[in-house]
Amino acid sequence: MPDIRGANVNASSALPNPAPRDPQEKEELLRIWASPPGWRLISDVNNRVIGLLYMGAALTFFVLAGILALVMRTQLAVPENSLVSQELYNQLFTVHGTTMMFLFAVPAVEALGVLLLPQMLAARDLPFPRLGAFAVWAYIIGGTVFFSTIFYDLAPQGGWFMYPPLTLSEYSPGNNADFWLLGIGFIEISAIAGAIEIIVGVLRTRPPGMSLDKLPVFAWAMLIFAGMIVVAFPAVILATMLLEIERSFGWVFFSAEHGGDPLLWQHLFWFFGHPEVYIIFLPAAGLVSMMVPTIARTPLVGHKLIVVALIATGFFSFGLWVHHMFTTGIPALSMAFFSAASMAVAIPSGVQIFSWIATLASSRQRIAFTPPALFILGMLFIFTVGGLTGVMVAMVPFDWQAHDTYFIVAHLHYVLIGGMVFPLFATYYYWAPMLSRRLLSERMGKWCFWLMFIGFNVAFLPMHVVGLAGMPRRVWTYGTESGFGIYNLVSTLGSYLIGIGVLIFIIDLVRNFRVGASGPVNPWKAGTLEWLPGDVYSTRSIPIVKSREPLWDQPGLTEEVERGQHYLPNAPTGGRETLITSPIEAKPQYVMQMPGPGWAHVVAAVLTAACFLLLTIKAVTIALVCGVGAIVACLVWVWELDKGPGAGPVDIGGGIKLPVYVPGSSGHSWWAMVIVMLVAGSLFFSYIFSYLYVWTVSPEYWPQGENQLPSLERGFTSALLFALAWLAFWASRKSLAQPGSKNPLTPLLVLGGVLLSVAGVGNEVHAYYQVGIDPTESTYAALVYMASVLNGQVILAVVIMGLFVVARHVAGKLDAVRCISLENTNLLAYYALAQALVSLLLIHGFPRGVLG
Amino acid sequence: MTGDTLQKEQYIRLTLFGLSGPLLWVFHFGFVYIVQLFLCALSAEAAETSVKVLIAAVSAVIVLALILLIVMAPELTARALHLQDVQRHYSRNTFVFLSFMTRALAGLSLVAVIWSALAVLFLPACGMYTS
Repeated sequence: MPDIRGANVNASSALPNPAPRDPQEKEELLRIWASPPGWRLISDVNNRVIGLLYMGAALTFFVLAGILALVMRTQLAVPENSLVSQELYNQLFTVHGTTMMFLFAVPAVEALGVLLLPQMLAARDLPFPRLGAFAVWAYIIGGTVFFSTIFYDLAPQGGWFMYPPLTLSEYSPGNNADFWLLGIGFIEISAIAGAIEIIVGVLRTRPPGMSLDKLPVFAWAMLIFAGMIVVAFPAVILATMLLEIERSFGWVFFSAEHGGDPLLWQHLFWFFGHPEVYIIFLPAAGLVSMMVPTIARTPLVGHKLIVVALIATGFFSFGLWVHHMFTTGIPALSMAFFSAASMAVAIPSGVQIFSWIATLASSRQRIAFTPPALFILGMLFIFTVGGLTGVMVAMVPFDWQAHDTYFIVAHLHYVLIGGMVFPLFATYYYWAPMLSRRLLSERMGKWCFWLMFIGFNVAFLPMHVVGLAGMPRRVWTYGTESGFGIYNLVSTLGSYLIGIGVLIFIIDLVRNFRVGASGPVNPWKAGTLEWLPGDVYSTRSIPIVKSREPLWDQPGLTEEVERGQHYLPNAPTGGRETLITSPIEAKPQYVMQMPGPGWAHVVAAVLTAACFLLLTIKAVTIALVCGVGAIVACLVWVWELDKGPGAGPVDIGGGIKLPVYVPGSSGHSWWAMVIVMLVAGSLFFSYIFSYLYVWTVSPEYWPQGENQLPSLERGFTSALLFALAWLAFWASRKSLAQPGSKNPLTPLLVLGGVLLSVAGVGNEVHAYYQVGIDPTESTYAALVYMASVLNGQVILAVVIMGLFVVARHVAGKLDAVRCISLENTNLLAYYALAQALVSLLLIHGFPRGVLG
Repeated sequence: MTGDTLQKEQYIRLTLFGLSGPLLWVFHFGFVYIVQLFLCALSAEAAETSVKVLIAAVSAVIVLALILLIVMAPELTARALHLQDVQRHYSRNTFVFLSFMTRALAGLSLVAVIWSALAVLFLPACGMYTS
């Protein structure tokens, strides 16, 4: 067994290896990593293909949502306009906001992660390429169907935040709101899948020597971005579950007359929604931190402070959600906590701004005003203005005046377009040469920038004024006597200028963007690894990294890597593979065998999307069939992932031999499962918050006597069943036979654990039913059953995984060494059972505690 | 202890120590929000003093903990990495980087905690307005 903390790599290592490499190695790499030709490209999983597809789809949604914005601005250009109806206008702003936030901003950033991270980390690919491809296809299908609802009068009308009671069935009948709830909920799951890939990728697929202090800032930003998705998105997933269940089945969560509270939605939504702003901004800030040193030709000033600022922003952003709710009657002290956090988060944001300015100022050369540089300078101005108005609206008295006016529309666009769209356009111009045979046009880029910059300020600056003058948001028209006309006309003209700017960018793309590897290598003379020459396999060999800007500080590295003189210059297992390194010091630990193109993940994405979308139109039976089909496709997809240790250990160069299969906490799949558990934990935490919050609002709906509560005996029975299940799963790992033999006890223990878990949940649900708890009667009752729904869904996953493990045992693919599938099943089972026990404590303990 | 378990334990310790500043802020923020929410829901009148005393007491403890963290960051980072292993497995640059990160995050968290806690001096515990 090798030292699992990793092989030592230092400056006196045997690399670069001066011996000539076999020319066949490169041919073999090209063959192994080649994309399927023609229409079978759909089945590809390579990050360059998937990343481009992801980015293209996100850009398409940006353009489509932008067109909706132009229609809205045209409607508002003059008073009492009747270009669109009020109902269509409601649909337009709902789909515009939802598309920009869910279908453009987050996916565009994840696309950049998929596209750039493997190159920045000199990895062959991210660790779960099929999961990444699944996420992309699910997003494209779900997003397209959601967006198309605007053409069929099926689009939701509740705004991108879909507040109840407006979105309850009584006030929003039909399927419009359901398209948002199920469609967006589904797309969030796809975002979480991407986040898992990014976290494990950043922590485990770095090149040897790239310790945390040398990690590129963009990778830091993506790590924090993905961590925030893991914590924040489950809150809105729970919110969408609750609202959809109330709409479809009448369980009451948000109806005040049954003890519910519409503000619960706002808490859950904004617990996701405010971090979402930083989820969008932080990666963009990471990109700026990568481009600014190249533009200034000098290392980033305050690199460590920038990393600290990114982490601090990630945390503090979770303390701001109530600042969207200052006008809802929350006590003054509570508002003060959130107001303080809203101002505190400006400090780390300011650190980054000053660091970029300092880096540019410290340049010893004249800065060339190329399109990326212009977009970054534009971003500095626009985002700073948005940040300052953000501090203004963090003040409670000011917010009371500005709330729901066009001042807020101006503020949020200054933050989001300045903080994300301008850096993204800088990114397009900066990184296009990495993927394209030609550079994008500098002349057209400058036209694009100036039109967008001037157009943006012309469109949104007057909104501050018209907002303070009293123009409310989300109105489809206004009276002539209001005096808002001239401001709106100017805003509309500005929006057309932005549109022309984006059009020029698209023309530039069509004219000049040609995918291929024969373009100029490192045209900006940057210092980071993504500018190493590469092909479908990423870099020819994986370099030892000794500084934050290795291409600046390690002379000859480009040539050495291209000649195959560093790690893994070949494909020792004969298939796709990459190096897995330790999370802190990035020491080589093992060679990961990766899957290639396939159809199962594509089928799974199509069927998952179909399941969710068919549920929207209440075609439940076909939806369930699609759901089962999606699960089967997932099982087919993962069946071949656990290849076992047969091909190793292998020589990776530099005198290091590594295994190709590592179970336990050093394995990449263990890390992914831990992240899945964090997602489930965050969802459950949101549930606990909801339960306790609703009690503070309507304690009179809680049981007033012991006879209204499920019996303690039944609770103890469930707890016992869960404890026995835990024991069975634990024993199943111990019972695994050595390779070449089977222990019949193993599948029996796994099945026993599965059955005991199911029995535990079943016993609980029956106990609630027996005592007469009805989820349509009160929010208390609905929340009691909701605990079982949440436990049931995790245990369902354990059931499926348990059956999968049994099948692998039968097929002879499970033993004491080849045991990753069982280890991961057990991890999730332990989590599921712990969650079930906590929920028992809450459901049985809390009401009794309150009763005294 | 196997290498695998040791490694897992190190990562957990390092993450907890490295992020202890923001985690203390999370704890403080959650505490002040939940204490205010629950005690005021139980009895607004009775909570007027108890909320303020509780928040002030917990804030003082957390401020002290954060100051301690700022002062002792290198020692804590070394412990998280298992001191005897630092030289064998970790470069000095990594150690300095992680110590700085721990210290700076604790500093920012200290500012944020004090900012939140100050509110109890000026505002009523449960009501909307000062009298």
